[in-house]
Amino acid sequence: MTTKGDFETRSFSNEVWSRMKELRRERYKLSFEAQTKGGLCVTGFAWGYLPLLAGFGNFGNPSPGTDFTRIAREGAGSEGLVKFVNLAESRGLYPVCGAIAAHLGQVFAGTSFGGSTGNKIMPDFVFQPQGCHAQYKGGQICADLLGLPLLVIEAPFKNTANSRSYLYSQLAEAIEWIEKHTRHKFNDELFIEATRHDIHSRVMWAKICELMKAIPAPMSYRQAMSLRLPLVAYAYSKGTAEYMEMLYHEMQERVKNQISGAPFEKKRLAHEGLHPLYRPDLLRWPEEYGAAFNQGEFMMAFGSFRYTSDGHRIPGQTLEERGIELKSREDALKALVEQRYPLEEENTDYDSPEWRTLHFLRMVEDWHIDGVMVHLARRCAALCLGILTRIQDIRQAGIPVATYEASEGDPKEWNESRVREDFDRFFDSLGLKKIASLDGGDSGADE
Amino acid sequence: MNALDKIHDIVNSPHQFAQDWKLKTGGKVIGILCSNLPEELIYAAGILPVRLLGANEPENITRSYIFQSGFCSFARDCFAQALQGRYKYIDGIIFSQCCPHAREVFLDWKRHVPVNYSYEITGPMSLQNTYAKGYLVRELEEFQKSLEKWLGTQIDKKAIDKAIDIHNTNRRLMAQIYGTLKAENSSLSEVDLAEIALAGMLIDRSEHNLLLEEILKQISKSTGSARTGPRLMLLGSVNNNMELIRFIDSLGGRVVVDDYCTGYRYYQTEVVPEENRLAAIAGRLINKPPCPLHDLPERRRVSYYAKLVEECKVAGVIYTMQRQCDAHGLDYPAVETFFKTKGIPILKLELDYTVPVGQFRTRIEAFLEMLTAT
Amino acid sequence: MLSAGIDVGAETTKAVVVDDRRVLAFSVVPSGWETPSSVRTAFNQALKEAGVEEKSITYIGTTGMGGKNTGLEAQYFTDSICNAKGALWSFPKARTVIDIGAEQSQAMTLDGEGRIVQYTRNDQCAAGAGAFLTEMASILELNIGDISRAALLSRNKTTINSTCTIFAESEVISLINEGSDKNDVARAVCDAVALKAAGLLQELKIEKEIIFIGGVAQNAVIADSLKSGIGQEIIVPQEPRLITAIGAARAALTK
Repeated sequence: MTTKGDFETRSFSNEVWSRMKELRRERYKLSFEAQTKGGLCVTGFAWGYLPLLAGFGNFGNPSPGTDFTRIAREGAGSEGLVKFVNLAESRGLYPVCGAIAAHLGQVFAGTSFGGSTGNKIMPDFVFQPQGCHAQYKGGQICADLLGLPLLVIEAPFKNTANSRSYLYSQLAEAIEWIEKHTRHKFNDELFIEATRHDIHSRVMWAKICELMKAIPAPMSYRQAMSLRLPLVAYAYSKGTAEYMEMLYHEMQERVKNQISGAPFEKKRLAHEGLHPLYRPDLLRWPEEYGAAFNQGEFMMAFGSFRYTSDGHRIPGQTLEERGIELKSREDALKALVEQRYPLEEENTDYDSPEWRTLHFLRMVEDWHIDGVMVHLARRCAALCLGILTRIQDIRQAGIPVATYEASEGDPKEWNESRVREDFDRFFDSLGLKKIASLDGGDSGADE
Repeated sequence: MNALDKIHDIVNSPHQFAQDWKLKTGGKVIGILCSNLPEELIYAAGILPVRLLGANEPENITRSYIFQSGFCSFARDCFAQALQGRYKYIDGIIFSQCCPHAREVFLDWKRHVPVNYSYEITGPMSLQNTYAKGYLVRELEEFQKSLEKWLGTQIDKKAIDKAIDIHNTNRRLMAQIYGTLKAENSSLSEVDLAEIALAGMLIDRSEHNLLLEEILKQISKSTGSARTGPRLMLLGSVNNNMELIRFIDSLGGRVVVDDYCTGYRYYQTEVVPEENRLAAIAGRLINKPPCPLHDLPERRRVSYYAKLVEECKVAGVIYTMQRQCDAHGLDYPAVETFFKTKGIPILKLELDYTVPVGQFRTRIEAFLEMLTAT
Repeated sequence: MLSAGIDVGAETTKAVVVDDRRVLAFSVVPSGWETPSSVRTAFNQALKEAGVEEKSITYIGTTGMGGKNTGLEAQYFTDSICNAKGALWSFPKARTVIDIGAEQSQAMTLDGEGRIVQYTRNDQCAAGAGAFLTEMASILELNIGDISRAALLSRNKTTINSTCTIFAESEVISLINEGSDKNDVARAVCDAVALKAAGLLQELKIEKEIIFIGGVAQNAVIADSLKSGIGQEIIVPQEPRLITAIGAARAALTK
């Protein structure tokens, strides 16, 4: 379904933007100050199971994985990021994933652990919860370099009782491991609270994504990447859970009043794959043609969803909605495990390529998507697993689809003119004409 | 025809044995993508597992299925064989906790070259994990049920015991054969060993045992010949390109031990008996020298290499990896550091479908010259 | 009404002047370092050849690597769009286009209006494109135009195995050092390029008529090898290098 015409746009409220920034500042401050104030400090590609760390009180993670790329870009620019990648490559890490190279380059350069007041931090250990194989090995390299112990938690991709029990055991053991390897004591109350907030934040984000079905969509994809920032590494905090509620209510108002995230929705597009993190302005390129990115796997990635048996994605439920109260450490562990392995999806094949295609096509249908742009991330097997088959399926379903090649973390793989051509060609094939130029502008929004 | 000639034929016609075996026995053949799998269980089910391989020929046929800049050429080469119909004879395909490159092959195979049976054993990545073995045992239980359902038959303890015995014998025989490589006078070269190792992944293991016994008998009658040249360890990712190994040999490199996916790594460590047979099989998978992917959180590969360096008096290492191999690529700095601290030079070569002869010649010659001079 | 199209490629800049029905004139010059200068040279030559003045050109379309930096008052279009429009105008039944330029290879299917339906192109690696051919020609000590002549004289089948230009280079050198006939190696090089192109086409659901364009299409051996590779007839325009520039002119006119 296509939408035409222009819509009223309006900035998100000052309240929302300033609260997002406060939370972002808070999280960064914690990253660099938690340790000096007696808290835990970790490093690693870690945005899963953070409530576990929160059970030890305030903790910091100054180098939390691919989010770093944005940090590097903001701090060092694409040129600076290239220096980090080159440094990693000069240490023999080639050809490996661009994001890992960029992250490890910063670790090698020592820039990951410099605080804003010039203080240097040495993390207590490397925390490597589920991720791809490259992230596990990257965590190990980090541990080697810094001489730190490494804590690996893995979550096998099949949703079975066996996987659930395996993950549970690892999480339970991780608490003891952290106590043994650091001087910190675990606090069940803090853990329970953090788990509750984490679940709540993610469910709210899923509900926010659901509101994007509206025409016009109340938020653009680019705005979403900024507004959801606290969710990436701070979902376990009370502040984020409350912020997500605030954002959700504002989204509801915007839907009611037909306020759009982007000025035009001549075509609503999906972006498949993790976009090049050092070039978020790309997410606004459709606006030059009167279109907008609306959805994509990475939009939904940090949300908590359920699936209907015919592949539609719907928001998960909060603990309150499920009538669950977390009273003990075991309850919270169980809840974290179920967040990863929803009980109602046990022994289904929801991670298989066939189901991923089905979910994707349902997403196209439910969010009224007119076309799909796929990022083929060079040197990233995990992101590109099954992607060409998925593209074939999307094409066969009659949905316009195009691709561009770059890297999510390595700016050296970025070829501006080639990527621009890919986008221009795609827009042309959709019958769109250029109506504006952003001139490379990347306002995360409208402030 | 002597045993080595038979081995050579098997490797040169990698599909022949399985096809003949199928006709002779009426049994089922399953394609496998990794050395980390419960082969005893598969064998006990009466199935012939065969290692899926590429043909080391350039191809374009996988362009629509596998993103070229994301996946290693071995994975693409493997899948190209499937698309070209060279694996029509296999009845099923199994993926056991391996890298995403192999998983891509598995998923694309299932989808685009349908087989009667497919199964993903999601074994643990971090083998040192306290709960890894328990988790793996339960996975193997499910796998066993799946096989039994497919075959319409039960796999009993007796069959598993027999399979364990055959495979353990095979590993012992391979250990003996590999042991000859490090002797001053050796009747076999690394080319022979590479072919012997690969052949074992393509034929019935009990038949492989017969060939190995014959080879050992032949060796025992010969004094071998003094092999000169720097003593090398060949490490790395999957590689069934015999041309490379022949090439190193021809340039004067003397490989005395190897550790790569389609080499000796496949034959490491025996199954230690346990009441629960699946636990015994899982135990082997957990305890054998790991591939880089599973070597978490502590690095145990390097202590295994330290042992090999000492036993085999290694003077230099050639590290061969497929171009996009994350596991071996990410492990390389640590491996390089380890060998450097031992004063052992290491040469890294990136593989593609084929051997870039000109480039490799220069580099290997220079490497060997350096080793000879020191 | 007259329009002009300028295609600024990695190696050559092509300029065409077209009216509603045909190409009136064209010019091909080396691209060099100074894009506006080479564009001006090509454009002036084409105008002179057509016997018209610049002011009689109503629309100018540009495309190619340097297409945004021509110094002309012109409209820029992506090369794929120009390929589609140029091929369709030249061959009204064109429904598939394969373009191999100096650095880029692309394939597409189009509808009857010249809109691209499916599209694919080489990875960021240039193996199988014109630059690969140029590199191999240099090692064989042949002019680029002589490669097909040499290939035609081949008697023995030789294969270049490497998919990477750098690896292929060392392979060709090895073949020469081992005494392989230069003509056989030239043929192997042509077959390697055709194999890559065939691979691109195999990704799409191609339909007739299939048009082979770009500088590399001038090599008859590659064209023939490609035809065998895909098992279908292909059409090579008389001047395959110009189709993109024609498309730019048409795109500017029809916009």
